[in-house]
Amino acid sequence: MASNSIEEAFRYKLVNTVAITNLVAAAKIFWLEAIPKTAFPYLTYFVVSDPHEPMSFDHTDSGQVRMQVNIFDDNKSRALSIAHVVRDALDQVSGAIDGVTFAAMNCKGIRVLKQMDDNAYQATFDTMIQYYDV
Amino acid sequence: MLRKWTSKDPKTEFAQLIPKALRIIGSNVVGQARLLINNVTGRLGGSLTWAMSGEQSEVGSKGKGSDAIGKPSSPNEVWIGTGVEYGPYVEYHKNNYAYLRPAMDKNRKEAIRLLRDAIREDYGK
Repeated sequence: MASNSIEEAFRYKLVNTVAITNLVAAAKIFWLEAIPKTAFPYLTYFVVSDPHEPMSFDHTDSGQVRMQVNIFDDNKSRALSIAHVVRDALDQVSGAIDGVTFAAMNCKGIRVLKQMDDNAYQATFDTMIQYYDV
Repeated sequence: MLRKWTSKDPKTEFAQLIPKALRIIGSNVVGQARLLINNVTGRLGGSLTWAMSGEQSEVGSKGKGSDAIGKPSSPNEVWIGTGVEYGPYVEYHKNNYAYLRPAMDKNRKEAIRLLRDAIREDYGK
């Protein structure tokens, strides 16, 4: 079934990209938040902002979103190297993805943060997505 | 009083308007970012500030003097942020508590309008 939202289409792209699932299993790719006690490494993603939110809903949707992608791992260099692979797999992707047309996907720089609560490293980057026809 | 556009040196005249527009953009982004912060003590929101090469806005009433940020060297830039050490952790938090990037994104299109308004205010339509 085709995606009904930009998040669903983005997930479809993530779990159907072999370069990504070779490093992070599809079962460890989560929207917003991981299931507690998920083994490292795992990946989360969510929309941070939608600056071009449509003014009305009329069975179509389009716009631009800033999607944040996070890779969590207890090994800093591994978190960073996975983030590079994921970013390379997503950057400049365009075309139809599970019912959503991606006009452009532009990835930003990677930052690494040390989590305070579980000692994990978070390698994170944003990707700006222009899309239409959800 | 309206300024008169001499058009002898439009580049110089236009350059004089940029700091005014950057000041407005900085204030707008800081104001919107403060609304997005869910912070108990209010220090993070209070610490948000903007800085240009020659000036820096004061930190809010609940911020501290040490929360100031650096200044850009270019007169055509405005830096917006916080000196609070946990600021990045909130911005990039795994549960999405971002405050600066949404505020910046919302103002990206507004920036052109603000610059246009600054010109109109000084020179008329």
